[in-house]
Amino acid sequence: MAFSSDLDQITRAAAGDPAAVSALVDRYSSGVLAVATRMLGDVQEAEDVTQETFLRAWKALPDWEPRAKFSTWLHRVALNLCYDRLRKRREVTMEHLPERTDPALNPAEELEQKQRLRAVEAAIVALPERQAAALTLCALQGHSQAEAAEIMEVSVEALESLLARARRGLRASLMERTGS
Amino acid sequence: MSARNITAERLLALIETYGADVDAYPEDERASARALLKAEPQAFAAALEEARTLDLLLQAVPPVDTPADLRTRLIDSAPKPARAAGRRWRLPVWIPAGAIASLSLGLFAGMSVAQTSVPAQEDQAQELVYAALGFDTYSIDLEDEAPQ
Repeated sequence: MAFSSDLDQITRAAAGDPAAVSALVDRYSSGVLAVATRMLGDVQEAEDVTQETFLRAWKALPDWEPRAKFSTWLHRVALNLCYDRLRKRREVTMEHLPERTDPALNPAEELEQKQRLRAVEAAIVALPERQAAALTLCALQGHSQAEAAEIMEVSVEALESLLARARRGLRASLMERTGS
Repeated sequence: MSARNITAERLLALIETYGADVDAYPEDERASARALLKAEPQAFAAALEEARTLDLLLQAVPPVDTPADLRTRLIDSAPKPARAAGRRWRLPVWIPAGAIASLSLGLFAGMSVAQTSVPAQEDQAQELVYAALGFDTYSIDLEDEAPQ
């Protein structure tokens, strides 16, 4: 259903229909931004990747052929842009991780939650890039195994292997950080 | 999608891969996984507990929303409507007006020059003819032939 709806919106967006453009942005930008944020651990870089991903999408729209879901294609472009940036990056600095606050928490709880969250985010960013991608797509973004495998251009078996290693790595990293 | 029977070993692998929530497992293995967990809860308790701790940490990671300014930038970078694209190529009003004015001026100037230069060219041609026939000048002959 979303597939045919996408196609209709893609056709209209390619013709410059502002409502279709807004609909595509509203439907997919947060997912793309989330993947880039988890992969890169840097809000500004994640926004740059999201913008570049959509620029490529707009260019591709007039010749779009529905061989893959638009969402799959979009996430694959974003992921490849993240891989490019990660390859150029020697090391990740913790200072660049995104900051978030929950106003419902008291300062002590907030600090504790913030530290825990930052530790998890840092541990995800520190994973090997394909493991981080698999974990982000499946565990954080809720993509199905088949979708995530298609986005990453791997088999479902390979995806499962990446996921299992990611979870093991994450657990080990968090235990190391907390000293438990 | 048809359900698939799984072994205890496969269930442990699923827990390690996807966590403690059976809904996260591949759709065709969920029913069998639930049946195994119900039949032998103690066999998987430790694996489930360990997986659940990590699941909770991952669930605490908040979703990412697109900031309003990024949304605006994404929309602004999209293709513009065809109507606007057509207008982009339309010439400003002053260009055709200027072209018409230039053409009119050119035509006027051309006609003026043509009116003065044609008789002069005819005179030169007639002078040449008269000279070739042995007459002195065309103007003298004209004076001679002028009516009294």
